[in-house]
Amino acid sequence: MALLEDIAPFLGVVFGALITLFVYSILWKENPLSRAAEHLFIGLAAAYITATVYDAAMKVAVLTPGRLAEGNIVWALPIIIGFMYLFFFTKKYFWLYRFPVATVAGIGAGLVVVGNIQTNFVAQIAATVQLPLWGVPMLFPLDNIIIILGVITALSFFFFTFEQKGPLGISARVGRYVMMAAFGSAYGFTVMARVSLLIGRLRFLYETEEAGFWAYYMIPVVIVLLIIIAYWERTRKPPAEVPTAAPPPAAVPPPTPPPVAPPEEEEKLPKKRKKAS
Amino acid sequence: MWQKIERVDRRVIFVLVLLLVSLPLIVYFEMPVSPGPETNAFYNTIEGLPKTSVVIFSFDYAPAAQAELQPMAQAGLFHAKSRGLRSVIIAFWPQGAPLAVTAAKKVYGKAFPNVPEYGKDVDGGIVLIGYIPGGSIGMSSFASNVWATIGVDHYGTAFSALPLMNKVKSAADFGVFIDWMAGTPGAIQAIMYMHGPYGVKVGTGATAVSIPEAMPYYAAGQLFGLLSGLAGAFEYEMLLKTNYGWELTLLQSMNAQSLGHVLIVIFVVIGNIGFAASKLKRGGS
Repeated sequence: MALLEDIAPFLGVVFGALITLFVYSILWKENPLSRAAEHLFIGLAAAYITATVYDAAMKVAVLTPGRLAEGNIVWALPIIIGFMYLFFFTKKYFWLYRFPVATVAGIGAGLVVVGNIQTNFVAQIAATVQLPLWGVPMLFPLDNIIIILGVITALSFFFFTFEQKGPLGISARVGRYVMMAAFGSAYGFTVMARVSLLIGRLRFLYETEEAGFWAYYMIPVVIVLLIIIAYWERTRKPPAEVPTAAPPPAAVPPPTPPPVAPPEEEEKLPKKRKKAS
Repeated sequence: MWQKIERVDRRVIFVLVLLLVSLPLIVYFEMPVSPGPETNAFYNTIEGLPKTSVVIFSFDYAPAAQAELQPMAQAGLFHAKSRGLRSVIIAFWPQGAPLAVTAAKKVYGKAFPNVPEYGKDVDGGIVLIGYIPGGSIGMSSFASNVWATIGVDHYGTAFSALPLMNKVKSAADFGVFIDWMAGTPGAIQAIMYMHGPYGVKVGTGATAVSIPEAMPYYAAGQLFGLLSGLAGAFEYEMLLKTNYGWELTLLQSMNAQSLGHVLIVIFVVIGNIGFAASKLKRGGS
């Protein structure tokens, strides 16, 4: 156990570097290393979250003073309701699964409705209406005018009661440009975030060292692995087609004799069908 | 020629980004950066708190956002400790608690939580509650009654054995609530369940992806400050370096990000010129 604790930081650096490089190898193309990293990540994340949530539930419902550990059995109720999620996997008792879902959805909806109206509606409208247009340094009124015009024109884009022509059409068009500017800004921030993630991983690779072993030592290892994979994929034979047995001939139904029309009806039938023009 | 540029292999772009982002991490140089108004507002609000105030730090992110949020989380803890404020650390994301432990060890030393300040109502006192389940519902419950939501800390110690927690019973006792945010639940939910009903001052340091979502709340005064991704973290570090001697950790990262952005802007411009040129050549429709 002590040995494991001693070598854990070293293993952390080795596996951290390997998994980082495995994931980035997808930039070359999808390969067994990137797939292995994906599967490992999903498995580890699921296991970790299960353990953490179990631990937290124990703290809240059992270990906190005055709860299950001290005989307050009311706190068994949330645990039972939580376990009712498992009825999702049965056909017969699936209806029991609806109880925890209804509980969570009901509480969540109640909280969100109140919180949303105050936070995202009333407070935002009040803040926009109260923006000062004069009496502040030169640049700020311009900011405020842009915000107010942006809000009005962007809202007018979603106003469909009347046909969007004339002043409403112009306003809607300006609103579309305002929204495009907002989406462009969001894209810029997304790029910033992605570059930040790359920087984080590169700093880990370049700067992490444990017992004289640097994380970037794993870069050539992964490159060699990728070369082996590329060579293997180029040289391997395509899987031979397995000959399949010919399907048995379908049973041919015995020919049925054509129905014989009664003599009086046979005369009524046209002798030759005319082609449709 | 423009058509060739339009058809350039994406892997060429990947290699160029890698080289340009790697350069500042290997070669040291400085580029000028000055703190923006959102960062200044964040810093000044913490500076203005009375010394005995309790700062709640909520680590609502996963390792995927570590590159952006961990430095600012460490800097925030350092700021609170340097000012003699009390810190209580929570997480509404399951992955947040171990990241909080890492940040606390960076600021309080590797012996954390076996440090003199742990659990005490003293200057720089700290408690790590850890993960609180329930997402937004857990956040709402925490604001209304801390002790009823969870009664033990990350290490299983009852709140009654931690003197600092006697000061923290509900949202009314929070000096400020700072959310290191990478998604939901995060600062927006903290505004809903803490700022709205209880008037708690909420600030955030968010991943760059979350900034367009958070910015209207800052403009409306619902957030007292906003640290915008890596750039915001670096600006905050600079303020802490000037006033408290915090050691900069993000100088090279900021240089790398600046160069990375320059390259991406060049690609966007070239790509658009190529697109326009091809369109003109086809007769423009």
